[in-house]
Amino acid sequence: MIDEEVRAVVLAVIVISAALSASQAMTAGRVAEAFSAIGILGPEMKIGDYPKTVIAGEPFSLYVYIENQEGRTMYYTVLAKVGDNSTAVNESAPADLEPFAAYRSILAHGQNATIPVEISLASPAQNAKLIFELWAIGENGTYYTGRWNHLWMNVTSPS
Amino acid sequence: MPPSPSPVRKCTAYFALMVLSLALAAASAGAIAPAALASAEPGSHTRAGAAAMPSESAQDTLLAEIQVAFLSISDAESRGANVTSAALDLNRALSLASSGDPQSVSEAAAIVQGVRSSVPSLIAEGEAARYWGTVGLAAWLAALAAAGILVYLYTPKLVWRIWMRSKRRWTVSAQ
Repeated sequence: MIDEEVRAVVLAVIVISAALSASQAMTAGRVAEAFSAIGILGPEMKIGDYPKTVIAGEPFSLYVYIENQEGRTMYYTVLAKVGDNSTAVNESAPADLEPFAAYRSILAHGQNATIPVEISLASPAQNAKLIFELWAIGENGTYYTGRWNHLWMNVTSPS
Repeated sequence: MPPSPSPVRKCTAYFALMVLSLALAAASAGAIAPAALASAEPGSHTRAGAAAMPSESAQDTLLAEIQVAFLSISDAESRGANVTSAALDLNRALSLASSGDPQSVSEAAAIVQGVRSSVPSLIAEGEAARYWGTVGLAAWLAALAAAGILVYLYTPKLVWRIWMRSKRRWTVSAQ
């Protein structure tokens, strides 16, 4: 009687440990949910303290944070655009505007980069929408990742 | 006492259980997206605004070369290569390309060429690493299967031998 019990228990332990170890070996280094991230940081490299009013032609500082959790090396391009209240941007469609600057970075999986940017807006505007879109380069060319950030600000004339 | 199943039927059942477990493990592995090797080092970056490009055509050419090199290392990565170092080199090339200085641009071009020439060896290393990883996994599973068989065959004998040794000083008295 003890023969059967011992055999069954020990063999069950071995079978389960074999299945678990095989599963671990096959899934090692894989990601379950791939994503890219973009964030805008203020002049002090913190979330907040964003400039609300800037002077046309005068540069101001921001930081663009990007992170790669796609499970593969990515070549990102952040496009900076200026729009207004009527400018539409969402997860599926980027803003239909010409970018005034591009910031590029190649990141391996798990890496992130904080890019200092100095921006100067040329013309005065009320409720200007400063947009940062995250694009990536793949085999079929450049594509919009669906990630973006925007800041609202007033651009005043230099006195 | 109920009749016990035949040893052949029990072995077949255990073997089927083991195969089923391994198949489940393989299925769970295949359901997850592939990944690259990770690194904690932050990537560098480049700014390429319209006003920051002293030599548009040279810079555009270099950016196009960097893009081609990036696609090469992406292909190598999908074939098992560790491209972390190559990605860092390309990032450095991006930084140099943004400076617009002719010397920096030529240095960036040399880095890109170096990365592109290293791709075949990266692919070879990646495929070799993937092959040996598969061999190691197969060997580990084979060892576990062999251990299961040995346990099935010899555990009862071992258990009784240990029991006998532990009880050998016992004396039996009859009343």
